Amino acid sequence: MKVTNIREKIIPYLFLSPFLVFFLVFFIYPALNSFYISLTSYKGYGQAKWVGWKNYHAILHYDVFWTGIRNVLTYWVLHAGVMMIISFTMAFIVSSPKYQKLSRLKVILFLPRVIAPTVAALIFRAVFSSNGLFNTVFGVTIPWFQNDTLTKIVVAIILVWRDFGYWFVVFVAGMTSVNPEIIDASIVDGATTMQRIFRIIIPLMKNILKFALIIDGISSLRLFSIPNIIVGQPGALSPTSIGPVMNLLVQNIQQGSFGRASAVGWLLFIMISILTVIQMTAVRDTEDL
Amino acid sequence: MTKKITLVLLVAFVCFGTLFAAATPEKEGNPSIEMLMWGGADRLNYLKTIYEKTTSLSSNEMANITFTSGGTGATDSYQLFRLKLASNDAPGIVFFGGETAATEFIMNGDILNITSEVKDQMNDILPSAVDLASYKGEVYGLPTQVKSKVWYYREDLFREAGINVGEIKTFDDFYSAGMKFKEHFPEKYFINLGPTPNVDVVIGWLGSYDNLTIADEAGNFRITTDPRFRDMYEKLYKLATAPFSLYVSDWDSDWQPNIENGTIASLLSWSWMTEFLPSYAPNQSGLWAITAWPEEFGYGGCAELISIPTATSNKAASVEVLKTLYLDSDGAVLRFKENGLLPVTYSGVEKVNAAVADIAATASSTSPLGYFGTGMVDDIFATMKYATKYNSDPSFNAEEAIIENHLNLMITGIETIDQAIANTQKDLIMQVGNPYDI
Repeated sequence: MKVTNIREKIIPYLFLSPFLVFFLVFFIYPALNSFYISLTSYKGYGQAKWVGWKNYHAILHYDVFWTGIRNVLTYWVLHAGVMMIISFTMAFIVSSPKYQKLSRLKVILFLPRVIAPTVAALIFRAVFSSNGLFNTVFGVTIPWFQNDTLTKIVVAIILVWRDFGYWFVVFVAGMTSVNPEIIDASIVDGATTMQRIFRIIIPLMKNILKFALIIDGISSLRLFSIPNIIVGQPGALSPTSIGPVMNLLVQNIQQGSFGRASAVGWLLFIMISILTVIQMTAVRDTEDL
Repeated sequence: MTKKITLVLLVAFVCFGTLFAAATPEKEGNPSIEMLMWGGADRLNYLKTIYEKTTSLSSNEMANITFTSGGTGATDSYQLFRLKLASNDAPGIVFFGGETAATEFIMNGDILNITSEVKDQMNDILPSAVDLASYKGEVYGLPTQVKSKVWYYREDLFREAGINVGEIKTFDDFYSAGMKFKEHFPEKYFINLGPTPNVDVVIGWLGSYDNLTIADEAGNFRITTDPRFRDMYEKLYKLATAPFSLYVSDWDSDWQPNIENGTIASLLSWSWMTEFLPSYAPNQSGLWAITAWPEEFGYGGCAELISIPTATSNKAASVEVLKTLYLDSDGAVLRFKENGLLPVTYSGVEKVNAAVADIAATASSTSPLGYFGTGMVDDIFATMKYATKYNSDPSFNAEEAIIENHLNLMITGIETIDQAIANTQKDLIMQVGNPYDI
């Protein structure tokens, strides 16, 4: 009886152990170790020298860090709203019984998401270069990559183009969770399309929209490859004026300042956590109203 | 209960550990020499082919040389080098994109001093090459090439505009020539200088001043105290905003098309463009000429440095491979034929000069020799001979990134020249601290 009891208690942990071992070894330990490294001056080999909070102090007093934060927030503001509206509209149209035939478009709309960000950036770099497709087709000479504002717009366009398919699929899935009887009832009651969207579908999909907003916000803070490939020179990072905050982390790794790089990583983690809490609180508050 | 869970986890750990240990092949002891560099498979194969063609090493010896890429850029390979040092797996030979990147490792004692190993060949190596490979008078590697400051210009367009590069000695001469060019060719540009002056531009301009260092030996930064930094910032701003300057940075996506379509008429660049220009503007073969940067801009130089880590297991063999690959004069001729890069030895240059007519006879118009003509050997060599090293400190990479950032902010108008200078100094103090404290 006793042996059976022990076995019953142990077996679940044995089943869990592969995950737990990997989680501890490849996630928890490196995370804690990186926090320790962030408090040291470490070149990546040899002895780490304890410096306390100096790395955090230096980063928080570095304009490049704050410019990077400002840039990713700009990218987020520029693309998130537009992308969500396009994704939601497309999802609504495709989910509508009126446009059943359009559901075949699902795969096509999702395709940009399959393309790696690096490849997407290279494609758009060619499209918007001085003698690229855009300028040639429209007969203009817009210097897309010689002006920070224009470059940021190109980055936002890529983000919308690449990500809207993903959120489109998520929203389509979300719309299937809306009870069709409620929709039918609203039609019988004479609700217009806009009323159905704003009074029924959006409130019922609030959790999904909240999820989309948080995940997209986090992705924006972790943005790296697209702005760097768009204007970065081979093997180099983009200039600070358009560079995402991740550039500071990568730059420190390239310079062998692993303590500083780890500190940037932890500050980003804290910022992402704060952003998540703010967004969740904001959405929860709306729910309470 | 807690003890039981701990026990289960421990058992799981041991099991997985055993599995991992069994799955990891044991490293067999062999005398192979690993060359750590950067670049994709194409670059590795290209270099391997060149070595196979140009070295006197036997095929067995060549078979023992392995080529490892640390990534696409030079900085990627430094990361792998650090990782290898951390795991006691130092390569036999390591490539540094510029000698400034090696300073930190040299100061830290990670690079082998090969002064005594190359002393017999010292008279044959160009003094500029020795200088670039040295730190405090000791030699820490061999340069595969001396990268010198070279001004490439469209000879046909300059002639038509009445510009004689030989008469351009000072910054003011250069600026006036630019204005003259623009008057003659309103649609074209004398040079390009965009919002992102990269490391090549920064080192090129820092090297324009004698013994200009970012920090003194005590580690005090000199951006605000040495007036030459203001001079450099002002000149770069003036050039970037000049009507004759195309607002496009080197290597960005608009650069090559503007060279190819003839919009850019000259490049204040480095000798490595000899290798790239023929493929950038194949339609302009024979139209480009080579000269040094104007006299006032100085003869700066840098080098792709090949060194031996002190932690490598087979130092003697690594030194031999290094010398054979880069000091062999017959090999130098073959290398020149392949990529147009001049050797770093007098004997090598002499042999290249002797063979240049034969090589030119069979050279295609898109090979460096076919593109620039046989005169390129003397032109490039003239700039190489006088190339002087920029005296960097071990934190140069971090310092250069900060300078680059504020030059970008200044050129894009976000900072004034005064602000750019003051903020560079402020960031250097806050972010780097003492540059010698590594």
